[in-house]
Amino acid sequence: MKIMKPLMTALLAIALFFAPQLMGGSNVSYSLLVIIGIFAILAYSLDLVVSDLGEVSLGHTVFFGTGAYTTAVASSQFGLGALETLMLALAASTLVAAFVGLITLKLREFIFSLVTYSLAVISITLADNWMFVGGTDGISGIPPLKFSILGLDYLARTDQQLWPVVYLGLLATLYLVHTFRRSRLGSEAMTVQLNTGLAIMSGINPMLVRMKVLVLSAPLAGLAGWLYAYQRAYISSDVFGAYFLLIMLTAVIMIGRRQLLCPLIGVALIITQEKMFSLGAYWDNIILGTIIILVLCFFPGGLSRLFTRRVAHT
Amino acid sequence: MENFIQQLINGLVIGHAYALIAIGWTILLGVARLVNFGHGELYMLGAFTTWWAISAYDIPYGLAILISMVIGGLIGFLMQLIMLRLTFRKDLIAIMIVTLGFGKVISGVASLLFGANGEILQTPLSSVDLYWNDLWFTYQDIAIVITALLMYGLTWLIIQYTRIGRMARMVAEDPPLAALYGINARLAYFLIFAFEGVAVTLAAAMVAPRSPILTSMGFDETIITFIVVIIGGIGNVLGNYIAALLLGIFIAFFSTYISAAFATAAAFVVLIVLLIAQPNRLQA
Amino acid sequence: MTNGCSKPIWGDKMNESAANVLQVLQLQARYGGNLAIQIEALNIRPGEMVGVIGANGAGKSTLVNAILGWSRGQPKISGRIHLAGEDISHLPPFQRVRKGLALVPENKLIFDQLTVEQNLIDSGTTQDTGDRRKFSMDDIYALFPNLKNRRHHRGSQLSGGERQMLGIAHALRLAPRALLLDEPSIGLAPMLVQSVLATVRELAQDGLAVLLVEQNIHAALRVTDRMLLLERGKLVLEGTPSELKINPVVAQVYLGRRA
Repeated sequence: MKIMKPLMTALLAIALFFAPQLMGGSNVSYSLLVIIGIFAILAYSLDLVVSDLGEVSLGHTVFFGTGAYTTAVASSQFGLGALETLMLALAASTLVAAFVGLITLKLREFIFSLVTYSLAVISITLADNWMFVGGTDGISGIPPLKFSILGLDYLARTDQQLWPVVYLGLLATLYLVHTFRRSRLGSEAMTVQLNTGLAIMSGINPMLVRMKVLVLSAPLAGLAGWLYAYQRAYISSDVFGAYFLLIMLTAVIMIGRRQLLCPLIGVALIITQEKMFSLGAYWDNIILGTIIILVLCFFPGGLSRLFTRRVAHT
Repeated sequence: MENFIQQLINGLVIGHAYALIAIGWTILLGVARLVNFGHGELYMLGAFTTWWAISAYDIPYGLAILISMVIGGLIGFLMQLIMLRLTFRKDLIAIMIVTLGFGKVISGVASLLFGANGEILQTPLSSVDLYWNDLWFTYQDIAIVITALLMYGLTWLIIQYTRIGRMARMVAEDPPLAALYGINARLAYFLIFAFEGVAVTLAAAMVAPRSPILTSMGFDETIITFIVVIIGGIGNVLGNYIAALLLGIFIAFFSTYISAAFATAAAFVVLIVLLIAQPNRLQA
Repeated sequence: MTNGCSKPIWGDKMNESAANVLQVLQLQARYGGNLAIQIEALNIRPGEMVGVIGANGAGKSTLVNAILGWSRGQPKISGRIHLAGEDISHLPPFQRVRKGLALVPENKLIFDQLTVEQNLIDSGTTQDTGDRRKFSMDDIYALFPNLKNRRHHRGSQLSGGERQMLGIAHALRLAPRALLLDEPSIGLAPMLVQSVLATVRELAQDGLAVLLVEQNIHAALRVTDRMLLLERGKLVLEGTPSELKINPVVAQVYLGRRA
């Protein structure tokens, strides 16, 4: 029955909306899931580039940070509402991505990674030294998310109230990624990754594909930045930093490649460990690093392969 | 005028420091076609093991350097051992990410072992100031320059004129063909990764005394290495040396006359402009 | 496929192993699900120069590469290789080379970035050569005077013929017991091909075991003691050059003569 799959998906989507309540409905569960949601969206933005295109962008925090800073400035200094700041955040991160795409157009993969990383470092320097965005102090006191649609106001002062927005954002992200993978650009990206020679001979321009994927992935990161600004109510140059990069990267490769829910599961595991079972920041680093090493050196397809192998044997 | 010369000297010292930090990376990339994104954390580890040996055990500076270098070499070797499958698949993407992971593990372990405080790596060389007219530097600065010159000179001589150097060049050009020439490419990769570990810890032992060290130091500190390696040419020993010096002078002057905070960023902008203008120059 | 003049390949049993320098048994190479070569047995005695001929795609390169366990692709190889009675099947390529099995591959066979001298100089210092015949640099330059003239030129600056000579010269520096040549005649003028192969033939007469894989049958016919026909990965025919020359199948398909 062809209607089964979409129906089941819709039911699952509705059910998962109530996940925080299923976990007890406390502030802790809402906060946890809000953070998971935001980081998952961020991870998906990287997922498109790493899993589909097969390149390592070490600069996705630039798009994330751009979205966050745009939101912070627009809301706290210009008093704009959430819908306006969303538009601005998406536009800003997309523009930055277009710029990055142009710069890196002719660079081959490895240099591309280095340059994207250096852009993140440059961003940190810029943010730390530009008074307009608060310098090293950053921007604090970001007003809570508030928007009006058709005369109805929605105010998200707590994580519980932010959750529906985050969840909707996550669903939109999943839908986008899913659609991308079935689109022409999606298959072009895979072709470029698997067999660049073949891609070129089929008339695909790998450089252009890379730029398009980059530009497509950026608004997702910008969305995550928008949400993060409202959630944390405080933004500083750390949003461009290695902490977010590492979580994104680990989540993308950890469970499996190019499977829709894998980054989400990865993020959920990582954030849960960090928030609930942390032994301190140093141990968190060690754990993340070890996961990366274990997965890539011994389970190249991701940890999910552990289970599929077992299934195959029985 | 004195200030100009002082900055020139500063720039040259900084340049030699960059050169020292970059050499392991450029050989690794040039010969083995491998990257190590844990380079910065290895540098940090080198600085801290040297500091620890000196301050906790009163080990003389020279010996402390050697101990650090051995540790660096072992860790490099170990990293390659764990990553072996990836090396053979030539999976550069995975190698980038894995070495990032290694870096984080090293960072976490070092933080646990050595704490989060900034420390000063005090050496007999760094504590003595030298004055010449109105110019100021330390013996450490001189040591950095001499060490860099020695390292580069030795490396260049080995690559050009020795059997090991020829074997390295063969492995760099065509690893399968090197096997037909009886060369054990796997061993070569191990040795080169160990060399990277040794070189970066030596660099740390020499350069880290110049400023306080923190276990949170890492990639960002050595990221300047990229510029040296890319502009100088991957695997090009002489090119790297020159690029490092130019970069050092650029950073010194930019910091003094324009803005210290933006010096690194400016260097990267220069790099990006160069890359856009001449992307083909950088084919390895 | 066969007529009375040539015998099919099922001979070469193990009781002749003592005399053989190179023994290849049950060699198979697979690319994915595709069985590229399937060799029951292939043996070469000291001083023998054996030619393997076949059309494009028959698996000639795959064959010699598989004997080394070496490739630029990733085939799955199985089978046994014995060199001077020693089983080297489980050794990686570089160790088989050190034991005395040398391959001059087609296409990329020397290092472009190194000079002629640098391509040659180190291989002669491989330890453990024992009773194998060694070639000093002077020996090599005596055999290939052209290379001596160009000794300080980089590989990239050499002509096709000089590259081929350097490839063979380098293989000799490894003090091989058995030498495998993959299509040395490609891209070379006929005179040069003759000269190069004649040099190898002389070395064979001195005791070197040679396996020559060639598409250029005329050249191979002239210098080999025994020839094998490789078709779709299998050895289907064996005989002396004169036997194969008059074999109607070979004549028709490969030599262009009407039967």
